[in-house]
Amino acid sequence: MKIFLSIVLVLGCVGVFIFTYVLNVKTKAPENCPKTDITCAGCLLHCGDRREEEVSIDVITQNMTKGFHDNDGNKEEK
Amino acid sequence: MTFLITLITTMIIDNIVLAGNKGLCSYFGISGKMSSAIGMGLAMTVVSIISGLICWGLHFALDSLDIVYMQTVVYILVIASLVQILEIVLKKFLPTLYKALGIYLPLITTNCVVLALALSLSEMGIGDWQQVLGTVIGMPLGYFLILTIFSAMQDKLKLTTTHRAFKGLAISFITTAFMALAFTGFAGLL
Repeated sequence: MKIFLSIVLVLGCVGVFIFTYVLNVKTKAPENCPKTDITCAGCLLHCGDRREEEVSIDVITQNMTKGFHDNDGNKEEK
Repeated sequence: MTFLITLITTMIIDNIVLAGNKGLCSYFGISGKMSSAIGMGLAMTVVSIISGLICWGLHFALDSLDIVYMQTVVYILVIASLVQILEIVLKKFLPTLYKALGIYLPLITTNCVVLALALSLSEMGIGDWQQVLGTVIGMPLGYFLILTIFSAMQDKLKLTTTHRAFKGLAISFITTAFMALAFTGFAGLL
């Protein structure tokens, strides 16, 4: 009986999550609302300052590579 | 009295960020802007309080079924579901707030402060309800407090001339370390 109840409890939690997720996806977002499904490529990014063009993974990777090469032996700008 | 002592302890003395070293990821990420920090802090507080209480209740069910080892999975599902529900409620009834918080809402699911709170509450019994209430309110409020203070400090940090080696995250870590040292002074409060 305990095993059955345990399975019901865990599966119930999974079910609730799936239900709320589907419900959330189906709920229309308010108009003129910025997209929230963008990927946060790293927690260390200042998410609050991000603009749309800065968010794509390609741009972030390019910026990171650029920054890496800039620090690699270049002189400091004054 | 226990409630008040626990509230002050979890909020200031044993702060989740400074003493517990949790939630540092979002702490450094969101503190760039004051408005973002306040928005994230508010959303975090609401989710933490509700999910903490639900998870505390669920712990007794898990304990009676001898599946305490499943608590992390169950708690994560509860937190994720709660964030989804909060998102739906904000979309429907508070669109202005949803627009302001939109980007930070999904990030709450991955915030370890919420899970840390749920896990720490699971060690408390029904008799410790004052301690539970104090922790449930104090821990997210402590995160909110530190996040707001640090975002105000970030504005000052941007204006200072820092050596290249310390720029950005390094100086933020050093500042946080000094903040943690300063907050240890509150230990004499109780």
